[in-house]
Amino acid sequence: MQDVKILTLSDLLSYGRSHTGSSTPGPPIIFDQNPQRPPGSSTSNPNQELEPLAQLDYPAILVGTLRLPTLTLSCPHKNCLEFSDDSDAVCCDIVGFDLRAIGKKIHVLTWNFITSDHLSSGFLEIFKWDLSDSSHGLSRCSSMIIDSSPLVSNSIEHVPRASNAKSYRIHGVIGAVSPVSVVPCSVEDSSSSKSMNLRGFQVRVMTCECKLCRYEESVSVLFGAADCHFFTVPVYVYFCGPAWCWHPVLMKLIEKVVTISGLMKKLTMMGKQDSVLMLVTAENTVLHLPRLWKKIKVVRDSYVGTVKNVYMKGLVVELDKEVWLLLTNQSLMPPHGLRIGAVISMRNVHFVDPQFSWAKFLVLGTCSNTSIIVKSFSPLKTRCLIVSHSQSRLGDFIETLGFPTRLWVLLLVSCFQKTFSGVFSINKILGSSHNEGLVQRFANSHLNSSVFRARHGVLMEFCKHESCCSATDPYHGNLKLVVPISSFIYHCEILWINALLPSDNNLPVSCGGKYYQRSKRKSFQSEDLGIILVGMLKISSSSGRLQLVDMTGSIDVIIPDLPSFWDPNSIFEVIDYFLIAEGMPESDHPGLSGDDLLLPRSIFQGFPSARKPNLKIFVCFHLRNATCRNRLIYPYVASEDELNDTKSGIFHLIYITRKFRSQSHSKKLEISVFAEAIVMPWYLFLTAKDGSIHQEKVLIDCTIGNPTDHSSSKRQKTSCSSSQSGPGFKNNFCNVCFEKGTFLRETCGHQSCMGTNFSHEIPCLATIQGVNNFFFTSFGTLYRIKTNAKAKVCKGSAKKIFLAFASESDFKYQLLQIGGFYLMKHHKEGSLCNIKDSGLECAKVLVTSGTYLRKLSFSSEILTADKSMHDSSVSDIHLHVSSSLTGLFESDTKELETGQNAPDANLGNSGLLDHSCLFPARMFTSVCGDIIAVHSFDQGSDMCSSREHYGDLRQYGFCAGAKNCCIHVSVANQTVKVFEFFNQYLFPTGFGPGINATFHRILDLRPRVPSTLLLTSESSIVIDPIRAFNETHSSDGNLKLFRCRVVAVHLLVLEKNNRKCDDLKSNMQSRPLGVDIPLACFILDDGSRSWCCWADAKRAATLLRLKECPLSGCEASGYKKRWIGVQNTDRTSTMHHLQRILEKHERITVKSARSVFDPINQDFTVTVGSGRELTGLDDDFHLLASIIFNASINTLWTVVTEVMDSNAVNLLKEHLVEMQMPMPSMENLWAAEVCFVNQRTEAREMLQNNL
Amino acid sequence: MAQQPPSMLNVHVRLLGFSLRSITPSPGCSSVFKLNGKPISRVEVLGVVTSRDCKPNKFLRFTLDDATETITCILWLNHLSSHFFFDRQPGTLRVIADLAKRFADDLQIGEVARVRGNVGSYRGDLQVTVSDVVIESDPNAETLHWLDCISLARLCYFA
Repeated sequence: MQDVKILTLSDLLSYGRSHTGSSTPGPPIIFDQNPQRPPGSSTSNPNQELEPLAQLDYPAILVGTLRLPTLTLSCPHKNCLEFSDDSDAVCCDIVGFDLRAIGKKIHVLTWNFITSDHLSSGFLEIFKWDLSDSSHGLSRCSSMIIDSSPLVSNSIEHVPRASNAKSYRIHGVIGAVSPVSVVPCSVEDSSSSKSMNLRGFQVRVMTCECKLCRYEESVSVLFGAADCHFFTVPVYVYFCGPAWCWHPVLMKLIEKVVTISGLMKKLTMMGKQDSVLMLVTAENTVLHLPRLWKKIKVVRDSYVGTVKNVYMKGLVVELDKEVWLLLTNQSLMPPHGLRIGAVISMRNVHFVDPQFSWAKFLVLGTCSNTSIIVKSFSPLKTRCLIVSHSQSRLGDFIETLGFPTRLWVLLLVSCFQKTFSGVFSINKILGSSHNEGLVQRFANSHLNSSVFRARHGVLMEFCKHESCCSATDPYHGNLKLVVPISSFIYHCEILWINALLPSDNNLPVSCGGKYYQRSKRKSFQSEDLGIILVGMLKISSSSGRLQLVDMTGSIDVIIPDLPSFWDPNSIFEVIDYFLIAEGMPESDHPGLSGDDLLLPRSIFQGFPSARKPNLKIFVCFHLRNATCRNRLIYPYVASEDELNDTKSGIFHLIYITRKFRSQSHSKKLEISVFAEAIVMPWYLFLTAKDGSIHQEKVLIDCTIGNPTDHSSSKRQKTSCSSSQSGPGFKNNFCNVCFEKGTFLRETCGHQSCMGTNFSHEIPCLATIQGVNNFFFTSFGTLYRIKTNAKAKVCKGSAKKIFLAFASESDFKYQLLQIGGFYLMKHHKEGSLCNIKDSGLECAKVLVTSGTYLRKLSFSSEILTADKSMHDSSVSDIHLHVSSSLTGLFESDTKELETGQNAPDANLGNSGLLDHSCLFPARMFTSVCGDIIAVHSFDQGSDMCSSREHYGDLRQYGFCAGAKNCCIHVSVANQTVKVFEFFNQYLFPTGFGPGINATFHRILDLRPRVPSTLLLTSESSIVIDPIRAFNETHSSDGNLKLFRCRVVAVHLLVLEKNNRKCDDLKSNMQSRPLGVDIPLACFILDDGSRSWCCWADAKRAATLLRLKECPLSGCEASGYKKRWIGVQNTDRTSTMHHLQRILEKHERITVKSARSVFDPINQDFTVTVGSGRELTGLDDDFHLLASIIFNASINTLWTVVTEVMDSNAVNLLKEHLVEMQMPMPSMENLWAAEVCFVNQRTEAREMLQNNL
Repeated sequence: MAQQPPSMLNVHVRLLGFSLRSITPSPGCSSVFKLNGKPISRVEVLGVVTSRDCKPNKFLRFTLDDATETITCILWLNHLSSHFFFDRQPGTLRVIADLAKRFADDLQIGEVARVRGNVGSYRGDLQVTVSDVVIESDPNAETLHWLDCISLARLCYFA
């Protein structure tokens, strides 16, 4: 040991770095169980420093004394062994523990020293040591080496004891050790009575009742007769007073046989009623331990695992094999050595399968009985575990829950910390010692009261361990996971990729002579995802779309019943929703496992936030199914009644005709978004009277009193109007709304006033939607003012207005729908009511965040709470009026729109529009139809360069855009194409095939360019949100399996495949086909029916037997011999022949020209890319005919088919019409999978099923 | 209202020989037969070739034995000479003629053949005019065909 340096603790501390040192330095320890970094693990977790500890480059030892814990050491646990030398003292842990080392000087031969901010002097992990003087052993008992150590020696603390008390001895196996706790204690002496705080812990010793044990044989006899003992009787020993410091030693002795002598018996009260006779340590208590330890298995629930990560300040420990250890027990002080990379041993843990729907893993729950020791120290440079349980309501709350629920709450904490960071303070999220935080209130709202367990003290919980068992039950309330939105999006991306099957129905779109891949859409139900979304509703400033937002990200949403107003700071919880992911799958996306996506690891660490640009993800839900959680945050604030504005008053009725963004680059304009609206000659007057109590009566009365002819300009009045609108209604109307000094004011009290100025007076019932889906009804009357009315409602008036939206009211603009009726409240100071009468028919009205603007809908039925307005329309206020009123509105609207199409006269002057973008007004139109397909096409493609038809597009400068898009819309059974050359954000969320959409103000190029329309910067698309919602959860179609044969090939489009496979290692199956088959239709027959089977390239290639060799048809015709002379190679396959002819023709279309029911009775027309038709004399024709006959003359296939939805069938019709082919009158099915029939297996299964 | 079952007129009905014997001609249309009242015109049969009578470039008449009955089949080999095929494209006709020749070569006595074709009658006897032939090398093909025929008969043809 000459070269070995003796280091002191102060040397280690002055070194200042975590390191490992040894008397014989060797190569660094290689840790073979590297903790896995999760995909894209964030750097937020400081525990992710996974480097090995630095090694001292010279041999060294430490010499010092190993001591029991003292309260003087600066350690929050106050429960660690202590290593001290002349220079300093540090917390330490030791493997290979020997009782003899306690209080003795030892040589530490190998160690880890971990610096820590929380431990003033760091932490020493001793894993190789020896006694500096082995002669200083403990007392030796008889012939067997038994170390005996008095528990109390020279201790300052003194436990009072009664004199002359009998001393007891127990011999047994240590089964469990409780945490150290402090209990108030009252001790009566002969002279006085004093109270003190007694520090101590309990040990459960499994004792034996054999003769040897009962007759108090000597310690050596007891240990010597090991086979005689059966340790089955639990005895509790309370180590109190100075003996408390033996806690770390006792922890290491679990499952070891010990003898403890010199104990006293005491009756201990547990709570107020229970009492337990307990053995208590005393002054002369001695612990006897044989030198040769023998483990006796008395602990059932033990586990050994490697620490992979530590989360939530040590409350959750991830072990290998997807095991999660919960350290939520506030009295438990896990060892500092519980670091990443350490191997730990846990005794008396609870094994719980939480049975969460979102992930499968095992939870280890800890309780007062649990003990954790480090079996092998971590060689990694990772932090010490310092658990400092501060008293908080959340901590107490968590301890009342079962283990699975505890983990759920901790995940919730982690999520909310990310979701609301910066929005709310940590105190608000987590709560404090006095107040509940958001997490606790949220958790409470999801948990049944039955899940909470009563808490007892540490002593009682230790002694009555069975009470903990209730915590191990899985929570059966189907707890759903709350994840930050960014994590949710990442999760959904992986889900989408994994859910996509290569066989998914993905008919290409044929357009302008080219085929385009359609994006693939998948929907997922929240029930299957098991995830709750929490966030705020905002309009994205970049895309203008409605989004659910938290601090981590945002996701587009469709909310069919979204009102025009909501508090952007309201927090919504969405449980029931549909998730839709749509995009073009990458051909070679990396294989991502979706199995462990929602493991706690991912939640605690967070997912990467990178999004794939080719994937759209959005969520659909009804606001009525979402819960506003503002009360969780502001529990004492009463919700504002935002309905006050709507309850009563006069409202103008406007009709939106146009929405646009200013194209002007003028910096003078602060406002860039506008809407054009027609001011209808109608006014709505609402009384403040809640009509809900009279709802049924109103319905009856109004229905009976339905005016016969509203189209007449003659004033109409329903019979129920006076009874429902209440006395003095007309007076009120005039007094409330008309300007002082106007002509009408003087006469308004007379019936004649109403007759002179109003052509219609229609009572109605308004159902008004408030936030949180609160509805109420109010009586009202609709007045139609006569054109020649002498009275004026407002100072000035205009027939057309331009709503100019201030930036803060951008969301109002985004939600505004062209073709929608809106209410604006009449207000003396309002900009609509103060239009200067400048003689113009048009005026600008500023819309600020305070402007009252609500969407209005009409119907002749009364909506109830069960059948809310969400089901029929999307509006804030729904008027129940007679059915003929709608027609009246329409005729009014039409009349007003006519003649007001002299476009932009006023706007042009105002500089709102760039004149270069103006189009002839008559070319604008609106179309409504079902979207069949949406595809992009490249700039400079046939679409806008070579084709004569599209020449006009260039006229408007439309070919400049890099991203062009074509939308196929079915309008009245005809397909029209709408081109888009602008930004993608023009499309509303959910826009896609199968959706019904109205395109407003699109440029109509018909009839010059057939079936062609153009989206312009002024266009807007309104989708039917209800249909969009319904579309999202339509099923993917039923799969059916057929054993069938190909009868004929109806249609086949072959294209040269330009994709190359770079990966030479990839097997043949996964390589891209040498030939692309964008469209293929086979007639299949299973003996009972025949149908059209459409297939993608891969399935079509299988059905065509392209990879088979040799081609019988070719062989017969000598075709093969001409090209190649070798068989059984890749080059002899039909595919190879096809590739060769496609090199020449680029594209080949084969159309059936004869029977599709007889395999041999088929004829074809074959056209190639150049447009030329191949004749029968052509070799290439011969090859293609051979391929088709070869496919038709074959044995059985097993084909898994999927029913095609109406949208896909429409798309097919469009393809066939374009090719001038008839649609066979058979069912259309999509080939999801095609494989050979194993005839023996199939026959056996059929026999088994029939026997 | 119950949904109308799809027509089987253009379906290749999989039949065992004895079932084929049970079909009856449809009045007024020689190419249509009735199977349990359902009109059919095409069949698929499978059996061992037990006899063959070949007239080169004219036809091959052969019989299939499927263990329930023998079925007479005729394969035409005169595609390039008969006026019957005059309306076919020359390109496809050449392939069809080659295929028919190959079928005839393959249909040797003892082979198990899967035959699709139109059902008709010749001199009062049923015969199948062959569309295509697949020689089955898998010994399980016959068993599976029987089971298929039984299953289809139960679930579809005689349901």
